[in-house]
Amino acid sequence: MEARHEIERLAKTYANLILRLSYARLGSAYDAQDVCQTVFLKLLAKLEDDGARFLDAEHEKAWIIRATVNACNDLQRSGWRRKVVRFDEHDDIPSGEPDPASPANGGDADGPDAVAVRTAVNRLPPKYRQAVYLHYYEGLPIDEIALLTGEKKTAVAKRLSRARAKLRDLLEGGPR
Amino acid sequence: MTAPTRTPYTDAMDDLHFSDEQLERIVESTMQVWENRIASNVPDEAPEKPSRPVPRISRRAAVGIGVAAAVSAGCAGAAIAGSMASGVSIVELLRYLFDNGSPTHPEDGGEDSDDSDLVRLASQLSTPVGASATVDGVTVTVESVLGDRYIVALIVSIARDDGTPLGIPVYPGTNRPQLSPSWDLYMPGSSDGSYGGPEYYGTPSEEDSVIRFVQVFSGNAPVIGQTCTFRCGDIGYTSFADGTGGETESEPPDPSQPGDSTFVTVAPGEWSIDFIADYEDLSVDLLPDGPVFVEEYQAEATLLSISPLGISMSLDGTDATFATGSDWSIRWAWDTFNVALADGTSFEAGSGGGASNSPTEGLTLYKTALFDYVVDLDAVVSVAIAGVEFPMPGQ
Repeated sequence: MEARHEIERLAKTYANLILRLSYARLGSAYDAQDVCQTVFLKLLAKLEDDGARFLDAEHEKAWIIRATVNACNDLQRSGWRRKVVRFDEHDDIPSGEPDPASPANGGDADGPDAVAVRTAVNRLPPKYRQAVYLHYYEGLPIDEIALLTGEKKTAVAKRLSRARAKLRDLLEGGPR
Repeated sequence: MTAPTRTPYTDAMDDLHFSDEQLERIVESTMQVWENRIASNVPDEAPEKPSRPVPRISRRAAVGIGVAAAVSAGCAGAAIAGSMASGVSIVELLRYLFDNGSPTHPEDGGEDSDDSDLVRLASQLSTPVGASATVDGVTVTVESVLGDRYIVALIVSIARDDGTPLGIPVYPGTNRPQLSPSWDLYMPGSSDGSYGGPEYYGTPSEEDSVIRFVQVFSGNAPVIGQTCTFRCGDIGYTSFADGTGGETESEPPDPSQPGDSTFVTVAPGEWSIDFIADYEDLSVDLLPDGPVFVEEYQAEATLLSISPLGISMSLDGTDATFATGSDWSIRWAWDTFNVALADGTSFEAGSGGGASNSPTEGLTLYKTALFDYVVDLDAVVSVAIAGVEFPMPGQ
């Protein structure tokens, strides 16, 4: 195994997935790079130790998601995050104003709807955000989310349902 | 897995992505850690001290204590170990204090005459405290404190005086009490408090009457000589009804969903413990002539200080747009300090950080990078971040 080549492949393929899932789970992107490194090193060690290969790309992706969820759990349990004031808590981006993160200003054009939804999702509890991301962004069905996160299907379904209800409330009665 | 329908949510998440430069950084830092691990055959878990079976620290703990220095942990450790005199890791130092307490100084009538680097550093950078408060038969004690001008690490114990169990469960398969932290540290003058995880624990059993841990805090106002207050609220743990193992952080019980999680109080009360951060001030101010404007951040560095333990930095941003970019948190969090050494080598430290917001004046940001190894400041030439180099005074 050529480590650099493998790390480059992993970064290119999965770094943004890990970033988004970490963001969804942890509520900010502070630790996403750490999580990336943790996950990649685990995979390298796994490949080095047993030469294990995945059945296919989906299998590998599922492993990455599971490892990311575990790494985020570890981070949350470490306690470091508790008193760090998250930047997104202060991300009061007025609707209609350009998002400095967007490409014209450094990122993609980010319409007010996307901003409002992102803000609303960020107000959900971490596990709700995680379920929303895996279901609505990664397109995973509930049973697969349950498998990857080590949770009960009913718990995942419950969170998605509650998340939808909360988002409805937040978006209808929210600042926008 | 199927492709999701495009929605404002997917659009918003698409907007969150690494830049090419950030991806490169991930590859490089991962590669460095991997190579160091291979070269030194370092196992994932930090070695345990064989003589003290109870207090433990995990590899994750070492990274956690590093206040997000994890990315640079491997390379920083290697660079420092090769060029610094002490060779004492911060984790070793904290573990020494956890196991032995702060050394008593011979000149103070103490008996510690061990002149090893570890004890010498512990002696310089820490002090015994022994201050406690008791509420309804539960005593919280700040045993000792270690730190620099902006970083404070406390060794704390929580004990039931009658010796009966505290009743805090342990995470299954781990040595981590499922303690749900309800404490903070008042550091005079700091705009906000941040703290790392409790990384060392006492006997991890639900039957224990005492739990001990280390907690790292940081602030952005000088703390040495100041009276700090460790404040602890109801002691307990979070129990989750859905069988997920109970993740105690960032998911407060939702009153509208009582089935989701419950905070189980094992000792109600409020404990408030004052102590003076009374240890040597080894920090060096890297802004001797006052604030410096950092172009990349469009903000003023109002504090930059290095000590043998780490680097602290505070930024004041007055531009209103400064506070609104989600990308900003990523950039600030990941920008590391480059510490240049006299022997021509350097190491990186310090992703992560805390922030406080002033709606009228923009953001005040600060970050603390705790080193992996105790650094000999005589070997440091400069500290650089965001393209700005700050030389050590006298260089």
